Amino acid sequence: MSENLSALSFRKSADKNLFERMVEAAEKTGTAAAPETARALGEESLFGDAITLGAVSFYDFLKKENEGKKVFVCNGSACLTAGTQDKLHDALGRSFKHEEIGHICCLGRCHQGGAFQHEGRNFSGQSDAALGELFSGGTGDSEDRYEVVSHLQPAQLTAPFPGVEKYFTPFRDLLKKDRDWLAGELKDSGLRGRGGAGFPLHFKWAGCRASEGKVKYIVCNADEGDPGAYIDKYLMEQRPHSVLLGMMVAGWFAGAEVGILYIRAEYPDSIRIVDAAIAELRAAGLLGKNILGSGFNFELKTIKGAGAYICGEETALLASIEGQRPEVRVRPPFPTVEGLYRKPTILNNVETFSNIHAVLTLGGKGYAKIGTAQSTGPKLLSLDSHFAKPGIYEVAMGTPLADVVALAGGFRTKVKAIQVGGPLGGIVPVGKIGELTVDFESFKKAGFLLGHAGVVSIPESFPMIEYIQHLFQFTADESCGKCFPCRLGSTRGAELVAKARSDSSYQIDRTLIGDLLDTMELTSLCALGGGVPLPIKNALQHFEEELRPFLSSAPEKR
Amino acid sequence: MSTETAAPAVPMVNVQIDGVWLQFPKGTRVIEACGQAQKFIPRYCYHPKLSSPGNCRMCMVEMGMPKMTPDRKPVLGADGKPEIAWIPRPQISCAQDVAEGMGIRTGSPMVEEARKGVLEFLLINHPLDCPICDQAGECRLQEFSVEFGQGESRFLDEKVKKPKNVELGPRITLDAERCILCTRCIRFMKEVANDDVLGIVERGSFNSIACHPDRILDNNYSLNTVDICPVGALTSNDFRFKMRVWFLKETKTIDVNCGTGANIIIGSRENTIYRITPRENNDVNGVWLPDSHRLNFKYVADERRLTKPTVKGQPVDWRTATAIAAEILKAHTAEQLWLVASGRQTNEELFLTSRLIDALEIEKQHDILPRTGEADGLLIAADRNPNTTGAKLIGLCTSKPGSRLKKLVEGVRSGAIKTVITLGEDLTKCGLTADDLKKLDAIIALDILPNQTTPHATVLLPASAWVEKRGSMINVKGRLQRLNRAVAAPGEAHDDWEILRDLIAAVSGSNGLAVIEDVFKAMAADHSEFAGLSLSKIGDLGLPVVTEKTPEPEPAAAN
Repeated sequence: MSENLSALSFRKSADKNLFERMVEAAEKTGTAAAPETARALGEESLFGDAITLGAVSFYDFLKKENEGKKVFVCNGSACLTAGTQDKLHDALGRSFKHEEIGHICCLGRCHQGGAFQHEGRNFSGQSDAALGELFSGGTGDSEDRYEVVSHLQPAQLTAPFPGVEKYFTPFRDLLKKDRDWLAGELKDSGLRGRGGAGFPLHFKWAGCRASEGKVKYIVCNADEGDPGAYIDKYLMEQRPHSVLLGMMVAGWFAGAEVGILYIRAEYPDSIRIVDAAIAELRAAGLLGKNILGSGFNFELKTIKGAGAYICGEETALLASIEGQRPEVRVRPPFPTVEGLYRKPTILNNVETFSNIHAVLTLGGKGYAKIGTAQSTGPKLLSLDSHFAKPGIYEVAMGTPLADVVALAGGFRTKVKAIQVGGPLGGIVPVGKIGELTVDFESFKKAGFLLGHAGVVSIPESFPMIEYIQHLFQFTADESCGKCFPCRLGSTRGAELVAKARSDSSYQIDRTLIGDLLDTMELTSLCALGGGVPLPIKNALQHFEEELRPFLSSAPEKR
Repeated sequence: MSTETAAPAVPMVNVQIDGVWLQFPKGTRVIEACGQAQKFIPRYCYHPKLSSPGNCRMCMVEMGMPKMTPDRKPVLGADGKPEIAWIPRPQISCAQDVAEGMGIRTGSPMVEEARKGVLEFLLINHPLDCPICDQAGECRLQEFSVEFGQGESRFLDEKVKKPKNVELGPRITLDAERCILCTRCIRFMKEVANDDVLGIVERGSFNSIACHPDRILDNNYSLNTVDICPVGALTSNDFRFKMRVWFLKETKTIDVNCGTGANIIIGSRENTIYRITPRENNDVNGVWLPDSHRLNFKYVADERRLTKPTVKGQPVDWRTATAIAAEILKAHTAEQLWLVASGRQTNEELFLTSRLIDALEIEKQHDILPRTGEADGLLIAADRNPNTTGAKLIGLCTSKPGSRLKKLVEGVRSGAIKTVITLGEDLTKCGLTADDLKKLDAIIALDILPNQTTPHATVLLPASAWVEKRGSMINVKGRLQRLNRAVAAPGEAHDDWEILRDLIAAVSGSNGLAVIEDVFKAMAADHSEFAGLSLSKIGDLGLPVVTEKTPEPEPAAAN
């Protein structure tokens, strides 16, 4: 169905993007869902009215309900378990009307809690006095401060930035080399995607390179929606050149001339800093036509998201850029064959692209010496405010998880479990931390998921049943609604748990919730509906005793 | 035979379905391959004529590919067939084509669990208002729940409230609570009707089907969305609350509103037609039908239907009417007669008309009334007569239908033509005025409803509507197709071919035609296109008999 729409969207190309126009339209009034706005946008792109309205009504920051909102309180997992948001809500209520306070899911201030967005700027951990000053016309302090620690010698992803000239030396050298050489290095490196799935990068890149087509795209998934993860945010704001270099290499390798970073609206600083870095590279002659006389043309641009977790799923992200409803599409065809505007596309996560510099400088084999045989290279983790020293930690794949906890000085509160890898990652009881190493295999074997490796702590004082409800509710809120099991199962799961929490005479039938989770896991179209059963099953298994009052004791077989 | 002339064969692939190895042409969808292997796979969003979004997750099967040795050779089992490495999760069968060595399991415990689970979810928000739902009896939610589900949902909590009775357009009502968001209607409007008027708005469990504000679903193909809606979310305003579908008698026949000859099913009960729906014929209309065509049946039950033969306005019996008509015809010379046939007549009627023409020796004094409009690029042909091809083939008109009608007008006005026979056409639409008609000695008219000509008819013979008779027609592409009787003609109205047979007999003596099959046989003897065929051999889907495409008449816009 989207074939024709992709073609129509392609007519306007990435320069005058329909989705960007939607986001722009919403900036004035808070919504792009007014019929006249939707129609005007649709007419420009020859999209039908219903298609455009369908798209704008999807996004948190474009839909009708967003109109008139002035401040957005983070409702992500880390702020939830930090216990800061009720107090923050009360404090904001002194300066704003109830209907002016909206929600936003994870600003990447998980290391501090108390996060909110105001006039396009993010804040966290503000005292009442600071809030008062901010809302009475002050500028406030929106600076983001957290630990950045590398356990690697020398540091790779967190290494100090030596300036454009020096950092891009491997790129300049590459332009003189042969693409087959790079293919070999990528294969030797064993680099796997860092977005969560761990797909071997050289397969993806070689697939796009081999795809027929004059027009190809490089897309960076900078929609780091996992509550608790701020790894990509760190890279974009403090090491923006690393991700841009990775995209440029991908463009050169696959024969693409345009690279797009889809950055979530929750990260305004990332957009600003990446835009500045792009301008810097253009000024240095590293972007544009015939770069350094190599015949390679490449341009980069950022596109700002509009508040939809599902846009982190690659096919939804591509549909979003095209101005369509960001619904997950069946694969195959994979984006390497039919991606943005149905053209061959390499789509990787920020951290994945950031690893390319290390592959070039260390060589494929040198890179593969970091980490384990199957999970190579460095990995960043982001730790939340329950750690003594929250921040970004760089370790070699295969490093014991306990070492990471120790590096961060342990927990500052009593924690019973950590959820690693976002809302779809496993819930690891603290007692099991010692069994895990930071790599895809170790987590999978133990029944968890490394994912993107954002870490959210669940303190002992936080009821596990509430966390389960939060996970179901998050999925229900963020499900694109396209596939039946995710749309229906998440909502019903949230309702079951809410009922069990509010009605002491009601217990959830164990078989029923087991079947619900199995159906979601087995039949969902993408990793959202298919993934959320994992942490909930972890919780049911490892926190059986705590959850017993909410579950019927007599399991019956249907 | 030289290999050069052989059509390139579609390569076949070997696929194992439920343990049995079968061959399918490359490019066959897995869900279709299973169907061909008599393993029906339940589905909601999948429709063979639309793209596959893969959203309902009902058509899940277990799938696997051959196990490979390290040097990429399939591992063979004890039976010499490839061993299959099964994918640990069920896969949807609607979005993938068969591949060499693929294995499919359509009824394994994992597949059954997956389907049961999805069905149970679907019933969560469904209002379960089957007793008042028009879809009941042809509802996939009902059917699959019984066949593949557990027939109920254990989730008995509150249902999500959504709007009911939403008027999407003049002919369609949406019940959003019944809607399962399969998106077939959206895809149909976009992909087939080329009218992007429907879409999904909102997100997640708030998703609903909507028409854009200020737009309505009034496309001439809108009712196809009701046909393909697997549940009772979209209902036809014309049909809803009128009749339970299980009471309907279904008659396979063809549409006569234009030269396409779309294949249809007439749903009737106790001699009343309640609805017309498209019938699949991929050589004609696929599975679609324009609204204008499917709703054009009410006139059949019009209370003004002609039900008794009349002579000069006085009711007579059939024998008298036929005898008087024959007397009138015999009282005139051949030059004084003219016959207006119709592109709406069946081949059998046209053939008997040609016999009547022979008997009256009016070799060139006849024609049909052309009807043209604009082709819509989809199913509506510019030729609005359903059987112009048959009329040309049997010789009732020249290659330019209607080109002789001006001779009729001249002849009537000059007084040379004294008597006109019209077989279902209003002569005032052939260029004659009421005054012209008054000049004539006699008009012999066969029709089903009064028109501008019938008051002037000397002999008026009540005939049958297209839903009341059997026979055949040839569409604009030369395909011979069959009409079948859904309801009986009212009163004393006769089948048209019988009226013609009796008239010929009265004019020129007995012709030995007792049943319509005899007519077809005689027609086949005269026209080689029908050779070797019979009404039963035409079959439900018809067959091509005129290979060269008959050029469509030019639209009448120039007039």
